Amino acid sequence: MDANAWMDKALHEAQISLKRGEVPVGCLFIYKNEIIATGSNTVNETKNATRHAELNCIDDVLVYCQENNLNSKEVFTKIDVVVTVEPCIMCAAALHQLRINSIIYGCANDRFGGCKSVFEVSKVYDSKINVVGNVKGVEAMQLLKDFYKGTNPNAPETKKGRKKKLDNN
Amino acid sequence: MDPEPPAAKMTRDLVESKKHEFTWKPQPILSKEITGDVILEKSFVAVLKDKKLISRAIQSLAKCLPIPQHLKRCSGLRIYLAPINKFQGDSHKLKTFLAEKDFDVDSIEDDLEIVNNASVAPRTKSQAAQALEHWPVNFHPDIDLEELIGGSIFEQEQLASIEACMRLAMAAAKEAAVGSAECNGSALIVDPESGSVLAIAASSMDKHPMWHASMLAVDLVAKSQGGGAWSLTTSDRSRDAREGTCKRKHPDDGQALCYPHSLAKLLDIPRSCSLNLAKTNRKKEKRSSPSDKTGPYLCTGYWAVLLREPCPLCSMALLHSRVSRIFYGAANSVTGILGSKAALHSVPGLNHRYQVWSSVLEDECARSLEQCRTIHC
Repeated sequence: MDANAWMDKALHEAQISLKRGEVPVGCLFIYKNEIIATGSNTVNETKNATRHAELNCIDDVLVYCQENNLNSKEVFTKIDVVVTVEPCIMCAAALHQLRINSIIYGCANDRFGGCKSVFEVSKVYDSKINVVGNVKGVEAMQLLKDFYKGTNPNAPETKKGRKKKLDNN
Repeated sequence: MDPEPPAAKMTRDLVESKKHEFTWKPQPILSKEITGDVILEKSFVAVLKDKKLISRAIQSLAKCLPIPQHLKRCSGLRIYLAPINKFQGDSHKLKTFLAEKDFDVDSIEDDLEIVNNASVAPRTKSQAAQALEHWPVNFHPDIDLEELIGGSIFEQEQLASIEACMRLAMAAAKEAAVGSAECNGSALIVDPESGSVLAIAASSMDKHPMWHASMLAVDLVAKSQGGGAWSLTTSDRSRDAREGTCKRKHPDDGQALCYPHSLAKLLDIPRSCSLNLAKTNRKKEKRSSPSDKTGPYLCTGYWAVLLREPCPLCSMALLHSRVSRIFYGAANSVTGILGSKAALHSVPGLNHRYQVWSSVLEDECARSLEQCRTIHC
């Protein structure tokens, strides 16, 4: 499968998370041309702001490796990550620490992007990851716009107002 | 009755002692925009022939050459026009422009002057003073920022409480931390309003590559709010229950959640000895903790106390979680981005910021860190 076809699957995952009231980001971890983990944001569900799609996928890969008796450290180095939005600084750091093979992302992340937009995480780490951006970026961005049109249903009242204000700017 | 856990006793003694001598001073990690010299640029100014012409000149210039908010238009008879770059350094061009905009060029002397002025608004008293040597500025000092720079931001009791937290973090790291060269140590999340420790975690990267101390601590706080992603507490999984991982002893008594469970013996700080993290003089400090009406939201308003400067993963996890302050002991020259390799909290564009202090019991923290187990990740 090519990058566009993978991205369609990741976008589908993002759409599902939009319906659950999460920031719509979808992610796939591909190992030997096979999807071994699929994830989306679960920040509201877990009340944990770090539960981004990529971190959920990392947990799934660890389970996959345990079930298939594989060395997770080695598996991670062969994984290609396909994600609808540029990984944030935290997720980019996680992917660097795991020394994954490559990142393909959809739209840039102007708020938190850790590949190029806000802070270049690669400068901190020795590992070099091949990064390709703007694969179906328009579609990925549209999903984010759809989300931010509404307000975050899980934020407390005081934050909702602020968020709305911010997004109108 | 069980003997009192050593860290708990130490913590209480420290918080209660009034005459503690501090061997350390928290160092604020500030951006270059705050610590650096004011940035100057060259601008053209005109000299008015008569002070009666000032108000008309100001009105006329407001339309054609608006002035940045931080600069004053006039200094005596001199009146600010524009950065020289805007007119390629050519005063003749500027005068032609003024004439075209119906500015009364006869009201000013023939020769324009060039002055240095602050190119952006000064942030600190020291920058404002530098700017003033060249051209007057509008400046209102930020009292909190000045206290931060001057080091007078914390009261003695607050420092004692921060030290107590760091001693707990050291004990936790020595007890259980397993990390990598990139990130290791322990993390506490505390609520400065109530003075309670909410979560305490030691790196457990032998169990999971993402189980850095801050990542665990953030998930423990989520757990205490009815969320959480990882199986870190006894109620999560029967296997963990057998291992006796972690759980609050009494769900309602505000005891900290901890991971791994072996840290529980360090806790048990009696309720009567809550930490004095908030200022006594409350007027001075803005309330940034979650409001009572809405309940806690992530780690909003909480403080993080870390043995070592966090890696990008942990730094950003704490930023996403909206902690308001971070204190760390030892610097992290490998991947630290709150002072060593970068200052994440001063990167433009991020929508939440925390304040950061380094050097809390730095030498002792560095020695504790040497005792932590390191694995190759």
